[in-house]
Amino acid sequence: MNEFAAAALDAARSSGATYADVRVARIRSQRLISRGGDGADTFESERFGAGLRVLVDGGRGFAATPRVEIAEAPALAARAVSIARANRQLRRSDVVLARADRVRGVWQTPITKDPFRVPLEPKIDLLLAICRAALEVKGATFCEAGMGFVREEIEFASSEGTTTQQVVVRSHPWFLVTSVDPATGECQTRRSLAPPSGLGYEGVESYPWLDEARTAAEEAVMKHEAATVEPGRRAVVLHPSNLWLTIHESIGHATEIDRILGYEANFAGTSFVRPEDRGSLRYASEIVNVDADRVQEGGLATVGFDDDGVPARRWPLIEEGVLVDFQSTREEAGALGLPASHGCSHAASWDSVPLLRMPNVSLRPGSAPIGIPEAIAATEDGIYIVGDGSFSIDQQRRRFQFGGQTFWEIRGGRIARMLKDAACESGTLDFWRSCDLIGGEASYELGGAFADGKGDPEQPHAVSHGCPVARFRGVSVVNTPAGGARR
Amino acid sequence: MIPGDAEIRATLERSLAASRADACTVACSGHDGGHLRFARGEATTSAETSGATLRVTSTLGRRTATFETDGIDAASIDAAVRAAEQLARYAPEQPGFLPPLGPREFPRVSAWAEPTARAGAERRAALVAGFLAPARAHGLTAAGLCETRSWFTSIATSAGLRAAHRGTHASLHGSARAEGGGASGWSGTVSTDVDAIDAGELGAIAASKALASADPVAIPPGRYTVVLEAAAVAGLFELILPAFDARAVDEGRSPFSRPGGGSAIGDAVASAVITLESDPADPLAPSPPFGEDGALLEKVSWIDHGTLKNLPASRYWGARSGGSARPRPSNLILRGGPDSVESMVKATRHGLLVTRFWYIRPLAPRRMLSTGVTRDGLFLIEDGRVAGPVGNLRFDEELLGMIERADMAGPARRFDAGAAGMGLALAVPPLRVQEFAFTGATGAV
Repeated sequence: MNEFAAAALDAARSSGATYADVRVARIRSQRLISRGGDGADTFESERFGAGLRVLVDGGRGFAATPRVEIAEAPALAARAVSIARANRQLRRSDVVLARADRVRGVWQTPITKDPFRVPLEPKIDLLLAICRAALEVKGATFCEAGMGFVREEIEFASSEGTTTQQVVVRSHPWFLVTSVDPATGECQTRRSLAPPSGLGYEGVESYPWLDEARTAAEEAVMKHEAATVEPGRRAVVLHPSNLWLTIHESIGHATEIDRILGYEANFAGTSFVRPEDRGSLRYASEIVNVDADRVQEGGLATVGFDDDGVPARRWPLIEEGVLVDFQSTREEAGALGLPASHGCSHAASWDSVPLLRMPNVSLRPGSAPIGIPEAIAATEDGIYIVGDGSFSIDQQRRRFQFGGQTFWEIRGGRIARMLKDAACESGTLDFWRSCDLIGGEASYELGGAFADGKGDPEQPHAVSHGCPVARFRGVSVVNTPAGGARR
Repeated sequence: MIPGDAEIRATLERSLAASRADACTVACSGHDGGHLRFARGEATTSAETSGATLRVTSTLGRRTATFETDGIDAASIDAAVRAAEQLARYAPEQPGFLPPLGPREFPRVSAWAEPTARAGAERRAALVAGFLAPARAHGLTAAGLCETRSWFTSIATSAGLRAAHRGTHASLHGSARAEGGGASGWSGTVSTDVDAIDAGELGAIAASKALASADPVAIPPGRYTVVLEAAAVAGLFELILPAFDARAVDEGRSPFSRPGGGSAIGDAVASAVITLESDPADPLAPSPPFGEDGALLEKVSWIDHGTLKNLPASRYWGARSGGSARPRPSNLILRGGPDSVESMVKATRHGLLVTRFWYIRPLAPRRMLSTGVTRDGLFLIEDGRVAGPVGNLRFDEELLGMIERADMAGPARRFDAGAAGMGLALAVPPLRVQEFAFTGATGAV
């Protein structure tokens, strides 16, 4: 064990902590952005420090320091313990941690090309080439392209004897093309579809950036002439680049136990799901199976261990449409009397208090060999939506409204024309229960969020969601510029 | 304790002395403080943290790069300076490169309250206890956050510029909720001075809103006159702020672009009750008197009684477009009017009183079409009185239209524009807005 970590745990115990864990984190990040192809901004950072979490007489305390030195450990422990004691008057119950095995382990994101070992030049050349490719399309007026990379080296040690070391790498390449119609002043955009991922630079190199930049620019320009959507109830065929976000918002966040128990009531919100719904709530149609997965290949939330020191694993959340489980940390599992944590504890940085953060939550592909062309061909009348757009959901995850990057009208099993101004509005359960087609492995893709916000003070978190193409019947499609006109 | 002036100055000078670049800008910022989070009517997570960040921007010829580190000890400073130079060596040439700014005087802004700087875990616990008491007295539960911290920011350039600012921040906000989750009410405040926070009053407001929110009735979607409490206005304005950018306007990408080209400066873009200004020295929302690159931030009018007056322009865009540079502000103040929430309600025959919004997201940029939902207290106004609670609603509304249709304003109060990641001090008033478009019920509490 790291000598500082051992000293901090000793100091915490001597100060009265019944449990303590320490997290020493070195977080390196790189951001490159080219705005309009005029050069590029180059930014790197390295954050290093340690956070100590304690339980004292059943209450929590946390303190953090950038001075990771043995001599600093007693003061750090004293600070964390004194916070726990100061809050004693506000306690109504003791924190009970679910049992966890003692673990000693090492883990690293399996990448083949460390993005921090790739020189700046090819990265910036690619960003400038993306901007050039997009701006060569007539009618494209602006392009912004960027790349972000994160490398976290984390050592964790607890007073129960668990020690883990891991290196987590994430990548986020992206671009955004804008087309302005000079006559009307109307502004249309198309963002890249490539997701952020738990891959190294090999993920950037394997993607057809320049082709997509040209396609994106053409589609941004096309939107000016696209037909405005007629509101009504329609079948929607959702590309994985769109559906991942609805999985994230309406299943991922809704099945977080801390929300369900009210820990997030003032900020991120609660959930319509109740603890007693486990095993009985008909969440979705029978063809829907959803897994929580901290070991998914390429996933942004894929780790070896969580920030409670619990080993990563996969478990089902929805089986044949029925809610069967939740996401949990040791604290929430303990609060519910569950035998063990699912390993969802995460802190954004060394000075952040760990809290429940979403694992990768993914929709299992169906067994039939249905790809995107087959899903469209099987739909008489509907809308095909590609790419994630604006997503807004209420504080209990009951009803949501989501957009997309492009909307395409399906008539007689074929793409008929581009549409614009559309959004889908639905209740969570109505939406998932209306799922009547799920694609096979061939259409399966990962999407994801590089900086999903939760907690107060807010912490970013990266998480992926895999899914195949899927179809939902009778979804309310609204026309947003018409004040959300509905029929 | 955050570092003293002499230590901050020494860090900046040591960083510049270590630089071998053609030009160098160093910025040092940090904080010392803590928070106490509460939920289910009791303390949950709480923390104390302190630290300082050093940001070094090095320039070699026209190549520029930035490196940031958590440490401000001698070894960390040297490592950060070397890392920035190493990056700059391989960064692309910047066509719009401008050298760092030179020396100038900055006014001193008072943003410090010693009671906040001294506040520790006991004080935060006492504030939360004060907030919780009214909720407990009424059989409600509550969740929220109390924060206190002192902070500083500073900058120095190899061209001779030196600037520093320090401040304190105290906040308490929370929701009181019925135990079964059937009703919710919110209140909160932000201040430089922790002594200015009346935790009992905030808790009482949240509790009374929660009690008044029980058994809401459903109302049909449609356009309503709304009285937006200041928290609701703050949520909407966070979305409007990024559109204030001269480059986006000149390139036709902003709602403040004129169709056919040019900016809407000089045009009426809002009703006469809308006046938006920045002034770092304003005690409503005191903020650093210098921008990210060390540019002097002075009092500036962005919208004056509905007319667009100015737009922020980076030094690069100012030079490229032939206009003048105007740095992005460190605070924004939407000036209020003579009315109050009570007088706005009294003047409304049929409408809705909105406590706050949630999950506001842009739909289309041209007129800032956005969607979002109400939460923590939505009430029907009938014949100048609050008639009772109604179920929460979704809106799809053009924010540009909304500021055109604002017709009454109350006193501005402090918020922080944190949700959009802008780190701005923000002060906004309650507003009354005509014809606000709600599109359907959310069913959420």
